[in-house]
This record gives sequence, C-alpha cells and structure tokens, in this order.
Amino acid sequence: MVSKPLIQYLIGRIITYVATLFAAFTIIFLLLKAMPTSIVDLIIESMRATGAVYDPQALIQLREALYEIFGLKGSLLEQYVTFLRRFLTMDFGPSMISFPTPAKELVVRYIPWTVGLLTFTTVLSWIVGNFLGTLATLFRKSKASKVLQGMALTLYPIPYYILALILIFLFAYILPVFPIGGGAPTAPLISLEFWKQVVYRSFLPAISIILPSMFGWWFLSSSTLTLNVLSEDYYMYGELRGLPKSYLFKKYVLRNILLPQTTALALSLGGIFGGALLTEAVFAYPGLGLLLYRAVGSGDYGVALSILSLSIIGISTATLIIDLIYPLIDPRVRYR
Amino acid sequence: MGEDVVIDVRGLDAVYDVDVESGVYVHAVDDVNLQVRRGEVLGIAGESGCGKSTLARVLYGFVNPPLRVRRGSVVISADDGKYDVVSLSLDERRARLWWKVISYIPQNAMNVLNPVERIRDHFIEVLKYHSSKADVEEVARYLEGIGLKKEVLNAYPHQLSGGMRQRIVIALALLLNPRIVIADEPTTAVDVVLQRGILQLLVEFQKRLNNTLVVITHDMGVHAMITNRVAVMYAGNVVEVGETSAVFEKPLHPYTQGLINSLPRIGDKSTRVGLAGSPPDLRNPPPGCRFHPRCPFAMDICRREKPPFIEVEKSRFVACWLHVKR
Amino acid sequence: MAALSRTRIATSTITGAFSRVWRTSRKFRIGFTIFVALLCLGAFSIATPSYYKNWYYFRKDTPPQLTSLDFLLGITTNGRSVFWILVNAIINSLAIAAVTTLIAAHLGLFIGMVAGIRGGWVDKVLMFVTDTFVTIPGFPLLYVMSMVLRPMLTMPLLGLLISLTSWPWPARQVRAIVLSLRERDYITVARLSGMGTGKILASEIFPHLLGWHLINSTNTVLYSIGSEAGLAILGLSILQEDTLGTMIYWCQHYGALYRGIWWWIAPPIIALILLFISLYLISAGLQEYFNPRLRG
Repeated sequence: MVSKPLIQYLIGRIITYVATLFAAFTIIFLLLKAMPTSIVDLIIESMRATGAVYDPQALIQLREALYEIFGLKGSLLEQYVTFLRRFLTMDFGPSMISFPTPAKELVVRYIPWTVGLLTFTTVLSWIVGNFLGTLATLFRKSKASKVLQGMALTLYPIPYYILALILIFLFAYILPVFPIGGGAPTAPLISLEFWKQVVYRSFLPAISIILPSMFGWWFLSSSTLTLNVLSEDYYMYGELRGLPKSYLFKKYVLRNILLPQTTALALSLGGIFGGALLTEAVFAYPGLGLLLYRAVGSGDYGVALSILSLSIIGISTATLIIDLIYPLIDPRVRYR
Repeated sequence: MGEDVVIDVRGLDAVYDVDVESGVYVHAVDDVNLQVRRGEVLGIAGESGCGKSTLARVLYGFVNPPLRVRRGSVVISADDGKYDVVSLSLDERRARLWWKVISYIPQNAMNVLNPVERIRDHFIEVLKYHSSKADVEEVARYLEGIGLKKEVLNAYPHQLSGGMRQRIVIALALLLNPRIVIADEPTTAVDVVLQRGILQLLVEFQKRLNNTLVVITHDMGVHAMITNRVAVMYAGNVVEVGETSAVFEKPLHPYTQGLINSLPRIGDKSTRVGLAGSPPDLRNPPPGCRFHPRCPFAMDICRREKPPFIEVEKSRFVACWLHVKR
Repeated sequence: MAALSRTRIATSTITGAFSRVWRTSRKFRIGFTIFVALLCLGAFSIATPSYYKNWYYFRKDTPPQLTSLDFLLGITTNGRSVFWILVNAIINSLAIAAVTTLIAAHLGLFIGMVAGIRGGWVDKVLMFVTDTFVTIPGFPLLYVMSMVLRPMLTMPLLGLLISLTSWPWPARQVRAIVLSLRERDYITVARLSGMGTGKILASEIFPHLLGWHLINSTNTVLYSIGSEAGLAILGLSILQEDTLGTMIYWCQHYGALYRGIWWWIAPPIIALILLFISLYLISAGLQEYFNPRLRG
C-alpha cells in the first residue's frame, strides 16, 4: 500500500509545511518592518501618554530590552533571526497585562479552553452539516429540505461574533439564562461542578459557532457537492442497477463528497479560528479570545504576537495533519 | 403474442419535457411497436438523436424526469409471468425485473464505476440487493471466466484501463444471468481492437447463456457483424425492421437505403453518397412522415399523413407510403 | 461619435446581462432588493445635519420617538442621534469595503490570471506566496497590523489593510478558472493560430472571468464589512468615525445592553445581518446564473 508516489506526496507536504511557516513568519517580519512606527515606539509612547514621569536611564534600558524582545536590535539579518526564534518559540517577553508573567505563559493558560471549544464545534459542525446537507439535497423536493435550505442561506453569511451579539441580546437581556461575562470557572478541576460550569459557559459560544457553521457553511457546500455527484455517470449507474437510495446515499454520495469536504475543512480552519476568537471576546469566554481582547485594550504586543504565532503554527499543523490523513480516504491519491 | 417474444412493445410514446408550463417537449419516441424474440441479437440503428437511447431506457424502465412515458406498453415475459414495465412502479421494477430479468450496459461504460469503491464492492452490492449471497470467491471465478484476473477485484477503477473497465461493466450486467441484456453504444469511444473484443465477449456470452441481446448503436458495421435482426429508427419512429442480411441487401425505407448506401463496400470504388439535410428538431417535428423533407421519393401523402407500420413480408416491417398497397 | 455608441453598447450589454440574471435567479432578486433598500437608507446621510457629531447634543438615552428623524431611532448614551449615526455608518462601512474590493479583488484577479496563463515557475512562485497568505489566519494578522497602525488609521488605510488578508481567495479562484479554460479547445486553436498571450487573455478568457470577478468582488465586500466589524469589537477600528462596527463598539463600551438601551445596539446588528444576507444572496444568485447545475 505504501508506494513510492505516496511517499513523495507525504514528504512533499511536510516540506511545504516547513517552507510555508518560514515564509509566513518572514512576511510578517517584513510587514512589521514596513510600518511607520515600530512596536517599541508605540509601547514607549503609550507609557508616556499615561502622564507618568520616567527616569530617562530606566527608559533607555527599557527600550533596549524591548528591542531585544521584538527583534529590532542589530543588523537586519540579526533582527530577522531573533524575530524568527521568538516566533517559533512564541516567546515575546513579559506580558503587559499581568507583568511580569511571560506572555507565553499567559497564552498557554488560556489555550485549553479555545482548543476545546474549537475542536468540539468544528468536528460536530462538519460531520452533522455534511450529513444534513447531503440528505436534504437527496430529498430536495420535501418541505423540511426547503426549510433547511432557507435557514442555511440566512445563517451562512452571518459571522459567528455577530450571531454572538444577537444571542447575548436574547439570552442575557430578554431571557436571562446564561452568563455574559464570566472569566475562568472557580471550582476545582476534577469535579462535577467544574464541568457544569464549563458547559454553562461554553453553551452560547458554541451555538454561535455551530449555527452558521453546521446549518450554514457545511450544509450549503455539501448541498452543492451532492448536486454535482447526482449528475455524475457513476451515480446514474448505481440507480440503474437498482441500488436503494439509502445505500447510494452512503456509498456513492457521502463517500465521494468526503474528499473535497476534507480539503475544504483544512482550508477553513483559519477562518474558523479568527471568528472563534472574536466570539470568545464577545462572551468573555475564558479562552484566547478574551486574552486577546485584554491584550489589545492594554497595548500588550507581546501577547498579541504570541497569539498570532500560535495561530499560524497551530493551524498549519492541523492542516498538515489533515493532508497527511487524506490519502487514507482518497484511493486516487493512495494508489497512483 | 407469440411464445418466443420476450419484449413486446406496443404504441410506445415518450417525451422529454422542456417547459411544462408552455407544453414544450421533445417527442423522442413516437408510437413504437416492436417485438424482441427470445435468444436473438436485435440491433437498433439510427443516427444520433433519433431516439434509440431513449427507447432503450424506456424498455428497461429507467425513466426519470424530464423523460416521461405518455402512452403504450412494454411487456416483458419473465420466468414467473409477464410484466408491463410502463405500469410498474419504480420499486416493483427494481424488485422484479432489474438485473435479474433484464440488465443494462450504459453508454460511456468506462466512466460509470464509483471512483471510491473497489471493483469487488461493485459486484457485492449488486449481489446483496438482488439475491442473497455475496460470495467473493464465486465472483472471482466468474471474472476469470471472462478473462480478467482476480487481482482486479481489489483494484479501484482509476487503476484499470478503459478496456478492462468496459469488461467489468459487461460482467456486472451478466452477473445474475438475466434473460435480456440491453447494450447502449457498447463500442463508441473505443478503439477498433477493443471493439472487436467487446463484441466477441457479448456474443460469446449470449450464446453461452442463451439470453437475448439488444444492441443500440449508430455503427452499421456492428449491426452487420453481430445482429440477427435490426430495427432502424429515425426521428423517434421505427421505420424498418427485418433480418439483418435482408435489410442490408435490400433496404426498403428510403432512409435505410441512404444509411446502407453510405457504407463502404469492398470492390465498389464508386463515390459514397450520403443523405442530404439533417434530422428534424423533435420539439417541432414535420407533419406526416418525419422523413419527408429529406426523402428523394416524397409524395404528397407523405407530407400529410404518417405512414402505417406494416408487415410487407414475413417478419419484414416498414413504415413508408411507397410500400403501402392501395 | 464612435465613443458615444460604444458607451451605449456597453450600457445596453450591462443592462441586458443584469436583466438576464434578474430573471434567472430568485436569490439574486431578493438579495439585490434588500441591498438597494439599505443603500437608500444610507443615502439619507447626504442630509446629515451639522450637529450630528456633537456629543450630548440631545438628552442621552432617550428611547425612539416618531417626532422627528433625529429621534426616530432614539438617542445614544453620548447624546447623539442613532438614526443619523446609522445612515452614516452604512455608507462608511460600504466605503471601506469598496476600497478593499478595489484593491483585493483586482489584485487577486491579476495574480490569478498571470499564474494561470503563464504556468511554470511563475505559477509556482505566485501560488506559494498565495498559499502562504492563506496559511496566515486572516484575522490574527489583521488585528496585529491594526494595533500597530492604530494611531494613524484612516478609512482608506483600513480598507487597504483588510485587502491584505482577502486577496488570496480571489487569486486562487481565478487561477482555477483560467486553468480550466486553458484546456478548452478554442484556446488551443487561438494559440496555434498565433494569437499572443495578451490578446488571448483579453478576448477569449476575460469575458468568462468577468462573471467570476463580479462574484469575488461581492464576496470581498461581504468579508470586508465583517472584518471591520470584527476589528471594531476589539476596539481596533477607527473609533472616531461612524461605521457599523464602531457603533457596536461604543454600545459595548457603554454597556448599552445591560442598561436596556436596545435601540442603539439593534439597528447596527440588523443592518449588518441584512447586508450580509443580501450580499450573499447576490453572490449566490450570480453563481446560479453562471453555473446552471446549481439552479434548484
């Protein structure tokens, strides 16, 4: 099963992965360098703007330290290398929000919540969305199907965070059931109370993501793909041989749209992540989104860059994993 | 109906709805009467768009919108009785007839296999839904009987050549030993060498299993090679039926004459004459005999009334006013 | 004289095409209608009174009253008229989106065309850059850049910034279409008969691309409005100007929701949702027109 072309494919993907990461970091480095004001200047400015008076000596030392952190010291090459190193290790010095805790540590603390929310909602939306979209298209004359279609058209274009605002409006103002602003749960980790709090806090953010994702995006895209499959010769041949619709649904339609939908999943991770961050911010859900909100508010570039770095590495890796699994589901790639 | 008639088609009329509201449709099959006899190889000939593929589908019973049967009957005689395909529901056709009594080899057979399923799954699924056992070993032996190695079973369609895929589709059609096999353009888009192999395979199996073969193709050479009888279609009508050798030697309908005359013959070096004009638009077919605009022998009555489909000699039918005795 | 008739032909072709799409797709009809309605609402901004930016001009937190346009949608916590803020916000959000689309959609079109036509290493390099940008999650990049540019952010600059993250998608789309068109027979004929690359691009390929360019542009407008709103929630938009995003920001800032000032938060949200849905329907309608398989 493991053939030479397959190995070439896998190795090619891994090389692309590494190359793209480096290219991405380089692009960001160049973009930041192209900015009229450097991050360090901005930090110093904001410190001065508070009106406090600083000892000039201390300021200079601070500046030096900041230059070191944000890769602005030394020649262009030295800057680049420092920057790369910092980016790869997500190390951008101490955070402003809770000085002197390193930015990295803060980020790591908030990761599990975001990863939990994202994984759960993405996987659920993808699976159920595809299933529903395909089923609805196979029976597209039915009333239920038309209702779902209409729902999908309305839900798909709405970003998660806008839906989040609506949900806040509904549930916290009109119908106070869920919290709108919480922070991290208080109970100890291994207790029912803890998990109850997790569900309680995650419910609305999850809904904000699931509705446009499952009933919107995955529903619509699988619907289109199903229409394509239905017009294919091999589907006609399946019908011709008298195979029942339920069987055709599983083995002919679902199985075939699985391929482009897996690729689509890999491509959409970036967008899902961005939207999720904002949703978390809106709900004050104790994940990276909330951290980001605080970082932006306090001008904490260290944390902001750490999150950026994390998102690039995380999403690239997730995409790579999906790409590596892909041959397992597509026989045309597995056997060349 | 004689005992040896296996498909009896009477007054069959089928259309493709273009626009339901304004009542525009393509009149693809117009009042067709045909008998297919047990054990024969019947060819259905005619140029593209004459309705032969549509006829094949309606015979089989694979009728999906916009295709619609307006009138007529297609009575198939199976082991356990006679069934009118037109009046059966889809489920009944599936349960009683499809693949067990009558099977179908579609056009473009090279691309009809499911790209994500192995070959053996294609066989297993047919067995599962039409009989009870799904014995892979038996399928392997069956394939070997066709000249395909049993390793083929584990392969995916894209790994096989076009010719092999064609054979597999034929093998699938014959799997449950049906009485009738309909082959729609089995040799189009295939090179000459492959053509011969496919035709040989079909004929060999037909002899071995003693079933009935209906071959749809515009290629007159194929008809000459393997068919016992041939039915010629033009613009939705069957215009001539007869034993292949008779039709080729002495075509009665002007259209058939045009078809035969355009074929090259060994020894005859004269220029081949084709038919002038082109087939009519079936949304708006000409009145009377549909061939009259192109017919060199068109008479006044041809433009007004459709000629009846009559038996001029034993087993020789033609629909042409030239052959109607007054 | 010739120029005049050319314009006339151009307009009649456009109106002809438009009416064809209008007749074909119900989605397009609905979407376009809603969008035009929103534009009309935004058109009120021409009549904006000079005092509309003044804080505390009106008594703050007044609920909506039908007495005048000023009070139609109530007053914010800053003492400003929600109605006038809303109509200006619609126009401003669309203006930013227009800048983004002008840059990103056309940049994507250009890159996609070049990559698709030239092929070879030009294609590989361009695609590598495009894919790299796809790898960088759009929103995190946006917020970092906004943070750095915050002091000097203007509407056009914001539009430019958003186009940084939105150009890869049209580029890939266009390239895919060019690649599929390239294989078509009539292109081979054109090439074999000696037509230059530029001419082939212009006369054979471009007309097909125009449809997709329109679709990509619509999607980019949608994306841009959403991105601006997203940035605003974090406080990274242009807070002195009124956009749909900044309206929401200020609402959040003053805790309008918890204090029951629903007339401030509801209009921008409704306007945003209507914009998103209408733009999407327009895009889907156009897609239905260009790809008949998708029609019901």
